[in-house]
Parts: sequence; C-alpha cells; structure tokens
Amino acid sequence: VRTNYNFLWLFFSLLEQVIPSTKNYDIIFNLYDKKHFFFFGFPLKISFSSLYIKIESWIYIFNSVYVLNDYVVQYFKIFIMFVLIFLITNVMFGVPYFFSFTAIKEKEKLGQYECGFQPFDEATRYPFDIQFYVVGILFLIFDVEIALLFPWVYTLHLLTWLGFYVMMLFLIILTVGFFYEWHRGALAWSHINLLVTKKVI
Amino acid sequence: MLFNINSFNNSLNVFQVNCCESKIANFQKISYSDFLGITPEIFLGSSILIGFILIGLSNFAPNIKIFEQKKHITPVLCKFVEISLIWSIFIFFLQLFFLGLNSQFLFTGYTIIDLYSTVIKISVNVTVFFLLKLSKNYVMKHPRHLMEYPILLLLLTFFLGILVSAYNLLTAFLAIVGFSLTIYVLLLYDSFNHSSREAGIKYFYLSTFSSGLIISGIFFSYIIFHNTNFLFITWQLHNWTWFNNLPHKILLFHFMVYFLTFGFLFKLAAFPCHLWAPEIYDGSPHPITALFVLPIKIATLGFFLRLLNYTFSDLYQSWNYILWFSSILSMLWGCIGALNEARIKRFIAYSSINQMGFLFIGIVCGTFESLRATFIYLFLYIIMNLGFFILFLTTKENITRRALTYLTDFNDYAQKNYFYTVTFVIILFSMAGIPPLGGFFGKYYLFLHSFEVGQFSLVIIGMVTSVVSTYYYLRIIKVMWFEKPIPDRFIFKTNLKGSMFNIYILIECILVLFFVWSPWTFILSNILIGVAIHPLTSI
Repeated sequence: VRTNYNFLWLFFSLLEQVIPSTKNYDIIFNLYDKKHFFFFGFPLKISFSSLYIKIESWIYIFNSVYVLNDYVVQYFKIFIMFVLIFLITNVMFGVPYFFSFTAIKEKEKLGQYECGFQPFDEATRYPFDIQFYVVGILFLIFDVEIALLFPWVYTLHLLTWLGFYVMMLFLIILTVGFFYEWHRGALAWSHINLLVTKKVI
Repeated sequence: MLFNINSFNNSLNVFQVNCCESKIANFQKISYSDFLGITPEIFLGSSILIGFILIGLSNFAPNIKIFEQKKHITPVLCKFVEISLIWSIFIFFLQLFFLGLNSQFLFTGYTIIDLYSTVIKISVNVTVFFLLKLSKNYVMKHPRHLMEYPILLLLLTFFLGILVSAYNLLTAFLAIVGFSLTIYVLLLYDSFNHSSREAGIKYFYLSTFSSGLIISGIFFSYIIFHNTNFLFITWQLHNWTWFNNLPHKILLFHFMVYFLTFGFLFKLAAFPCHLWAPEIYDGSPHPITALFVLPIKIATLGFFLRLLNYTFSDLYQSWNYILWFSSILSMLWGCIGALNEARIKRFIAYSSINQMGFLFIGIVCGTFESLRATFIYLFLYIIMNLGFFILFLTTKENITRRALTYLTDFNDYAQKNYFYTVTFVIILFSMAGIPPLGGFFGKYYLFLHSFEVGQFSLVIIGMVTSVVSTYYYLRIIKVMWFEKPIPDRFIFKTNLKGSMFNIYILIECILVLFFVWSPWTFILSNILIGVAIHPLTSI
C-alpha cells in the first residue's frame, strides 16, 4: 500500500517553525522523500500554452496546492503575530473595563481632544475647523521628508552626483509646494473667518 | 534537511543571464542619455512648478483683493500651459524623428520610450490642449474661480505620459495614483453643486478601491517573480521551467492577472466595473467628463495593451476570456442603457462603454490584424469624441449661459447653428457606423478580423448592438433637425469664437471622412503593433 506522507511533511515543517531544533526528526523525514512528493514523473520543461487545455493539467494544479502549503509555512510567524496582536489588544482593552468602575469621571478626561480644543457640539457630524486638517497634512508631508532625508544623510559619502541632486530636486519640489501653500493662505488662521463672513469661500 | 521546494534557485540560471545581459546592460546605471530621453517630461514638470510659483506670487499678501486678481492671472496661466503643451508636442515629434523604430530603457528599466509610447503621449497632449482651450470660458465664468485648473491639467498630462511609458508595474502604479489625485481635485471643482460633490466622493472611494486591486496584482507579481520589471517578467514567462520555480505558483498567476485586469477595467469603465461611469460623468463638471472620456482612457488603454500583449502574452489564456465576457457584455450594456436615456452625459457614458466593448474585440482575437483594427478604432474614438466635445462644451444658452443637460435641449439646434449641426451629424453618423464615414470602417475591420479568427459570437453581438445603437444616435439628429422648438425656452447657441475653432472643426470632419482612406493609418498602426505590442520582439 502506498502511503502518502505529504501531510506529515507539512505538520513537521510547521513544528520546525515553532521549535528551533528538529534534528531528531531526521529519521522520520527520510520516510517522505522527494520522489513521494513528486509522485508523478515531470517533464523538465513544459509548453505553457498547452497547460490549460490538456487533461494532465490537473496534476500541476494538484501539486501546486501542496506548494501553497509551503507559503503557509513561510508566513506562519506572521500568522502567530496576528494572533498575538489580537490577544494583546483584547487584553489591553478588556482588563481596564473591569477595573474602571470606580474611576473619577471628569469633563476633561472624557473630552475627545487633549490639545485644549473644545468640541462644538459632538465629535461627529458637526462642523470642525478645517485648519486642523491642513496643519496635520502639512506636518505629515514634512515628517515624511525628514524620514527620507535621514538615510540620505547617513549614506551621503557613498552617493554619486545623481544621489545628491535627486534629493535636491525633491527638496525643490517640496519648497515650491510649501511656497504655494503659504502664499495661498493655508497657514493663516485669522483670515479664514474673515473670508467666510464675506462669503468669498 | 527539510525538503523545501523554494530552496531551488529563484534567480536566473547562467544561460538566461547571458541572454539577458545585452539588454540588462542598460539597467546597470543611470547616464545623461536617460535625462535626454525625458526632456518633454522635464519641460512639463518645470512648467508645472513655475505655474505654482506664479499662483503663489499672485497671492503674495493674503488680502481680500487677491480674489479680484485671480481673474487677471488665469488667462496668463492658460496661455502659459497651452504654450508648454505645444512645445512638449513638438519635442515628442523630435523624439519620434530621432528614435525611429528603436526603443530605449530609461532609469534602469523603470521606463521606456519608443514609437508606441510617444504616439499615445502626443494624442493625449493634443486632446488635453483642445480641452483646455474649450474649457477656458467655463473656468472664467464659474463663480468659484479655481485658477489651478490649467496647472492641474498639466499635472494630469505629466502623469499620463509616465503611465504610457512605464516599463515597470510600480512606475505604472505611481502614475495611476498621480493622475487619480489630480482628478479628485478636478471632480470637486464645482463642490457647491450637490451632484458634483456626490460624484467626486463616489469616484474617490471607487478609484481607491481599484488602485488597491492594481497594487495587489503587483504584490502577486512580486511574490511570483521577485521583480516587477516587464522584461524580467516576459523572460520568466517565456522560459517556463521547473528550475524557475514558476509552475508551482500557477494559482498565483491567476490572482495576479485577475487583480490587474479588473483594476484596469475599472479605470476604462468596461463591463464588470463600469457602473460608476454614468453617475460620475453626469455629476461632474462638463470639461472634466471630457477628461474622463478622452485622455485618461487613451493612456490607460495604451498601458493596458502593452501589459496584456507584451508582458502577459504567455498568460494569454488566463486574461483572454475575461476580456471576451467584458467586451460582449459592455457592448450590450452600453447599447441597452443608452436607449432610454434623457441626460446627455449619461448618454455619453453609455456610448463610451459600448465603444470600449468594440475596442476589446481586437484584443480578444489577438492577431496582428485585429490589434491593428483596435488601433484604428482607438484613433477614430479619439477623433469622434473630441469632435463631439468641441461642439458640446461650447454650446450654451444665450441669456443664462447654462450648458446643455438634457437631450431635448438640442431642440431646434439646426436652425441656430446650421454648419455646426452638419458636423455634429457627421460625427454621430460615424459613431453609429454609417458606411462612407470612418466609424464604419473601424467596426468593419474589427468584425472582419474577428471573423477570420472564428469569434462569431463577438461579431454577431457587435453587429446587433451597432444596429441598435444607430437608434439612439439618430434620435439626437432627429431632435436637432425635426423637433419643434419648445415655447418659452432659451436659445442654445454655440460659442465658437474666432476662426481657429472653425478650422479645428473642419479638420475633424476631414479626419472622420478620410482618416481610414489614407494608407498612413495602416502603416502607423502596423508599426505600433510591430514595435511595442508584439511579444518578445525587443528582446
């Protein structure tokens, strides 16, 4: 009777991801050899166009399923990370729920914003000053700029003229954008209210 | 000791590397010739920056007075953008002359310039130039005076040019994101209008979804090939062996192709992803619907053709039947949807869906002649729709300057503008496919070459839908010529000022009448297919 050890292979390979040393399983690994895994004889090179038409195409698809399991093995650590994230977040949000019955409830603590800004009426579906968003977007752009600049500075001695001037071009584009925003009046807080009252915007 | 299939070498073997080496030698470093290759893009980009500086300088002091100054700066900006577009077209022609039939990889194989990309870039720039000229009045008269409009059009052409000349999936994605951002801004131009705002937000959500589909396709291609370059992908697909480790990943191939095709079908408004088109065309301002119909579709179709017929030419059988269903059903949907449509821009959307189905016929058949037929039909699509929009965008009410919205607004149109109506009739007849005009021959070649291959279903459905579609094209002509004018209604009249527009319209008529008769169309489209689209010619 021909036994199929392919699933065993999957099981132990998964084990290997969790337990670092699997040297003890070498004897078991010899049971399912390559020839069992390729349980049909394969041509070395196949024409792609005939792949979908011929009857034997199911063989390839059937085997590729096993190979997809290999992807499962590769990304198993990430899967574990997801599980851990799920657990930790649930614990972090769940545990305070049981201990927070006796907490002091103040207005400032329950407010949405810690910046000192009082919400008009509710947090959602009511007008909110657009200037916060504009400043936030500006901050984000220049934050990203700094994140790009640090590795550039660190490897400046390795770069050619191209590496230098590409960053200069990037900085020029950013400064033009900043100039445009500044002179368009995006940073001016006081003028916006004036324009709204005059019904220009 | 664990037997792992991925322990096989993922990279190329020695023989393959030696074969690629002659071409990959270009990929090693960046030289001055790369910057010489993108002179039009440098020109466009620098003019965009100068335009933004001009806008900034006009608003130097944030006062109330700036809003009066706006009206002085916009015509200057429009003129500036027109001149830069004309010069970029001139440089593209120079590039055509110097490049000839050669192709050149730029920036380590991230982009390519060849005849195919330059021709499509020229057509994109020409359409944007006309649309800017037509929409200048709209911008000036609109209560919300957005003076960034011409600069945003330049940004759009810039990113569409990058999309057309992309030779790497990541470059293409960058260009798609770039032009989508400009389109989000332009769609919300008329944001005080409820329907326009709705259309802008809808397009924002749907377009981000389709961009997500495209990026996930790129993700799958990176999983399979460990690379996103077109040359690498074509080479790997053409030399399909067990040592490449490709046959194991056959299911991932399907995912890659499906994600990429459906993402691009959304951008092209073809069948399974077309439902956004009528509502967003209807809600958006008039010049921006023209942008949707003309330059964006031309550029995305140009890139899509290169992607399918060049890089995924060996995966023919996995994208072929998708496009088959898409072409048939978009022809039918566009045909049936436009039958009872009262609003003009929804009508345009349905007719463009129908025409996109016709364009897909040639891609599905996949022969040299059928691809040539798609190119001919693509050029005809550009000419016909540009002519339609020249007349549609310039037609306004005499008193309130309201634009056309309903098909019944064409009532008694012929009495007011006789010669323009004649051109309108010619364009609509060629859209319907009446024999002596260009549209007939475009459809004729498509049907002929699909019949040769044996795709009878495409031919039959295409013929039936083109017969039915004559009904709604003829209905407009009937409304123009034979309907009685409604009493107490303002008069619609074309606002074509100057002799230049008359000349444009005359050129339109001549192109629609004689475009197909000239041998140069066939020669050009033959070269386009032979150089860029036919697989593995450049390796």
